Amino acid sequence: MHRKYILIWLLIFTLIGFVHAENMNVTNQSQGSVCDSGSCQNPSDMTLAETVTTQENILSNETMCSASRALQETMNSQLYATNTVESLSSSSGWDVAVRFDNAPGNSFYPFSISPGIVGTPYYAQLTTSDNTLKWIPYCFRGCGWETCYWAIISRQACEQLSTPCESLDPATTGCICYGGIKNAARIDGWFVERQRITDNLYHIKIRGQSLYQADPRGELWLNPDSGWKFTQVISCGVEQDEGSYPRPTSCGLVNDTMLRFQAAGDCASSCACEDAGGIGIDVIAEKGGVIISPPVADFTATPTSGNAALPVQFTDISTGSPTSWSWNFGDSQTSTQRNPLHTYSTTGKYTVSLTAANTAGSNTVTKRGYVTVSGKTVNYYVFADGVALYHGLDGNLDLPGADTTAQYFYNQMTTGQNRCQQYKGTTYCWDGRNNPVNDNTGSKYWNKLELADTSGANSAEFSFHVGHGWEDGIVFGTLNNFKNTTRSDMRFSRVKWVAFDSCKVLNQSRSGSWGSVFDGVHIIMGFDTDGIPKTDQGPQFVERMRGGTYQGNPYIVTKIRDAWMYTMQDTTHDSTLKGAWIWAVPSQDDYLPGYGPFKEPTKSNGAYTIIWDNFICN
Amino acid sequence: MKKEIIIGICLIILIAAIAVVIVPGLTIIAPGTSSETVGQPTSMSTIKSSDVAGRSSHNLVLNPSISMVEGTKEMKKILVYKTLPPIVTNEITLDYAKKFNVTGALRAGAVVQSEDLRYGIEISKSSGSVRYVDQDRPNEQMDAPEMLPSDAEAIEIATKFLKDRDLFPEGAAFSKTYRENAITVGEKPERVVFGRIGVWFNRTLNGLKVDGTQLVVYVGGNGDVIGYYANWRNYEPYKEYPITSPQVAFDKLKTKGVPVGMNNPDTMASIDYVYLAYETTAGAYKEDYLKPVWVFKGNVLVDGKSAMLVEQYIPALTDDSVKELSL
Repeated sequence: MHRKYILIWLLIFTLIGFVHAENMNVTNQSQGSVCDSGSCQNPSDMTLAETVTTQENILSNETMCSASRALQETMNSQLYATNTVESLSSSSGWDVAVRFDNAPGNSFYPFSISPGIVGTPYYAQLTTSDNTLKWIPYCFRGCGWETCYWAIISRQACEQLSTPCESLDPATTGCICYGGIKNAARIDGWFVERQRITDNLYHIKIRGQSLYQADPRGELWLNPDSGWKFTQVISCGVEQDEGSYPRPTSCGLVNDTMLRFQAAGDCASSCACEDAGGIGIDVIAEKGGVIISPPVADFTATPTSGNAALPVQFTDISTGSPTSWSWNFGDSQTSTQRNPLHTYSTTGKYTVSLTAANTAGSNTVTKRGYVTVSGKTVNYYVFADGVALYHGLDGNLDLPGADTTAQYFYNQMTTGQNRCQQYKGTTYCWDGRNNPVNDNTGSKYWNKLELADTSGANSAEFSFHVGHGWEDGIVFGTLNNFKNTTRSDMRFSRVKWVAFDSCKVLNQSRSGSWGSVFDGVHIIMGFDTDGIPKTDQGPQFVERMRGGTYQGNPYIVTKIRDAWMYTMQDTTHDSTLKGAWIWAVPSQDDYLPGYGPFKEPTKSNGAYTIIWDNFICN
Repeated sequence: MKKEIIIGICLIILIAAIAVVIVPGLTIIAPGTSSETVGQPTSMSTIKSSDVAGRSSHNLVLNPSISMVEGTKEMKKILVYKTLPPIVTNEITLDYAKKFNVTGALRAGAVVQSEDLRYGIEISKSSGSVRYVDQDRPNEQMDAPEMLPSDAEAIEIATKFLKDRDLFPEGAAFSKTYRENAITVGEKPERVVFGRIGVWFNRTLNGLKVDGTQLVVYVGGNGDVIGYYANWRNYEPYKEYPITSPQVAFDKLKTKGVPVGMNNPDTMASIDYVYLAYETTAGAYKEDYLKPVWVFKGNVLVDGKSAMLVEQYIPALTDDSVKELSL
């Protein structure tokens, strides 16, 4: 069963190898004709004289086969001129090298008739005098079976030896003496040979088989400094058969000077020693050559999963000497580097593709859902407070739009599909901490009499107050009273972004005092002169920070402080209106979390530089 | 019929006489003069208000030291301008982006923003107002005070910038410069960290100032233009409409009251400066026509000193005129 496999396989090798070898006769054709007609005889039953006679007449007298057997020898005198045995090292002027890391069952013959040592590299030249393709197949066909062996020296070469026939040592010469005739010995093994086509063009061939052991593997390479390159892979096959089960193998160019072949693994001890392996490799090396076979694209990456932002190192493992690479990472980003590092900023499963190309063409590999990026969600909270009526505050102007302004701000931030927004792999969601004030039941407020967390104001990251203020605080109206909250009473533990849509707050004359409220607060925004809350200010402020649209007007994505300024400029024109900010360096550069870069809220025990700035609305 | 006419004339004369008696110092400033150059009241020292804002006073007086300007007070009618609807198209937006060298995706036909969010162009579909931003400016490294140009240089830079890009509208006139400075607080002495210079331009129509029009170029360090905003609508003359007298407008203001912070609601506010103008709405809003207004400016007085400024706009068109325009 295994023998049958091998024979078929070797026939394929022979066909592939010989069809492409321009200077070789294709004896398979005659072999076929010889072996097709009549019963065959096991060569071991033949005398050598019969064998030799058969060989000599095989091309001219096909009827010989029908007599009993077939023994074929591929011969081309031009291919067997010499039998060079070189002793080059890695530091000498070598062109081609080979190393077998495993040569199961048979000896390994690296560019010579002398067996090599497994694991040791052997070096040879590709020169005009080196045209010694020395392997020849002996294929024997019996009655219902066929097998092939490989000889590394021809009968003609044996005949030329000066050694007396009876003194020939098969181990060192590859020749035997039988019946007084010098002839090639049949040697089974793993052969690596060179075949000169022209001075600058060589076939490099690896042939061999093992009937009882598997797992041949090794590397063939060219000296990168020699100018030789592999330019074409005519055949590259490795077969391994353990028991009745073919096992995966690989064979191909790693780059234009390196070829690797290997079976997947050695025969397990439990195998019934019916394993087999074989190699049929034919590659063309060309001096100053150009790759004429497209590469086979492939890649690996690490890691292939994780939280955003996820940096992934991609590694090209394409074979066939690609010279350019085109990556598509699946997130609309691309690269032409060979081994790019790419960072995925948003969650999802990403299909990655690599197109590797050389002068002969390109090849694309696509790996679907190859990278999985997970994300986290951060919830931020909004507090909004509008005070329209000032219960108990005699003579104070009511601000009819204050409640609505705050409510619109609150709703705009906490409802709708834009409530959550992803930025660099993290999803930020804005939730409402507390409903806006209802004047009929009393205002919520921050002051020293009511803990901030009770009202909700200080349990939010973003607070928005609309109502009256003055240069050192803000004022709240409650059901039957009003409360002043001075700057000195404000204690923020969580609030980072505060907007006072209130007149007089942050007046320059008191700007220095406001530093006392900063410990983790990023920015406080307000008027420093008389302002008039407008219903549109709340939602416009929100959409400006988001780069959204309000009342049909699209906005750029704007830093928080600038969004405040533009909102004021766009909704007022009174030349006495001034807006102002106070911020802790460098937090004025914050975008709204989810919409751009910002500083994660932190506390530094008040170790900030506090800066005051203002703008005029007209 | 004649009797009714005679009674009506008598009433008008009577009202006018009362007005002259009560507000002998009412002043009307010549149209077209700016607040920066004409008619400012005599200087007053300012005191700090430490009270809660939010109260209003109806105790308004006209500064008797200002005499009335001939001409304006006799105006019975004013030319009303219709506001041309803004035209915002992809081409216009992209053209602005090109003028400000902003590259990025066009969004909703009115926004172009660079991928890094730094630069942006934004045009309001409500008003046609245009904003250019460089969100990295001003900053301490590039816009420290010593890096800013002089006011004169800033004016020259801004004017040239506008004219080179065909952004200098007809009728625009330099108005003022205003330095917006970021200063440290809590440090002694405080220091200016960085700043920018706003170079402002205004306009007049029909010889009257158009309040609310905004055209500003922000100049930063190295003379760079780092911001621009224009709420500069286009108008066409429509019709003349009757207007109220300044006295009627003043009475309306008294009824309305002016903010005096948390000062006593009876605190006196002195109106020192009155003029007829047009008032355009802010850039976020649509506008059908340019509204004529009486502008009242003055001070809230506490112990004879200015506690805060007063600036109030009272519509100048008669109710019938407004009604007709709204149809």
